[in-house]
Amino acid sequence: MSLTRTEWPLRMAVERGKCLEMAHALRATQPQWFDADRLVAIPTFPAVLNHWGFSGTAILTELGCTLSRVLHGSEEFEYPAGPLREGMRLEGAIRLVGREHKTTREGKGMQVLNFETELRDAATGAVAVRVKRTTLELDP
Amino acid sequence: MTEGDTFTHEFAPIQLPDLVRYAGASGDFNPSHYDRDLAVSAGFKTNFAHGMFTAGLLGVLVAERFGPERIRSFGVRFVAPLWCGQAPRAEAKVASIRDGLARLELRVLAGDREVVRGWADILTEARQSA
Repeated sequence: MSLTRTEWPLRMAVERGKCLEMAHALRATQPQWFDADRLVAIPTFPAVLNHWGFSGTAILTELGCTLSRVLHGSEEFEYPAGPLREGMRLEGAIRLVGREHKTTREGKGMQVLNFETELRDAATGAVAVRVKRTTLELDP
Repeated sequence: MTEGDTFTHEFAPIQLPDLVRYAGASGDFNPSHYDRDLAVSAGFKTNFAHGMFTAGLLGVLVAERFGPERIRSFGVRFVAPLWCGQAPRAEAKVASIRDGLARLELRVLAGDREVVRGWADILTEARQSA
């Protein structure tokens, strides 16, 4: 199957309401998440990219994956300059950086897709966060 | 913080409203996380937590313990489903401290079954204040 594209440019903002919503959803307790002039975003905040039109499932569908056979393998976050904070505007892209078929020791086959997302602070140009995701699509 | 330090945390059971709330917050509306009948028909024991929900609990736990500004990286590997109704337990160990960074080894268990394995690199207090 040929790929139509391997890169999805994106922009997003770190909004106060979404910072609060994610902190509540993840049982956060400290005031830095709820009660500060400029809230701190929780470490897995980039998960909200789903709301900015970059749903992982939409990209997988675009890549021809069958969602009922898809598993989330791993997720990594790198914050070179500290956490995301309310008010930041981020720009970058999600990139498909690897796609290969593997067979486990038990003989089960799967497609392994590796994505990397780099988001820069639009105000400074500095990298704000890098996200690596591995997605597995089991063979039928 | 010294090498070998450990800490644990017992989470209250994960219930359906938790998963509905996280679906709305994150925008991940895979119905296997909140529709028990659909999850069972797909071959699962019951509905189960989003992997990123469990990862998020772990991330918040580390951030509240050490301060979010000290986290330089955080990663998880999803090992097994966390079923709705289970009460996860997190375990953390300071595996090493080098060049001003502490490496935490993390895992989340449901009973004696590991569901998430992870790590975090945390700035030491000395490096943060340097």
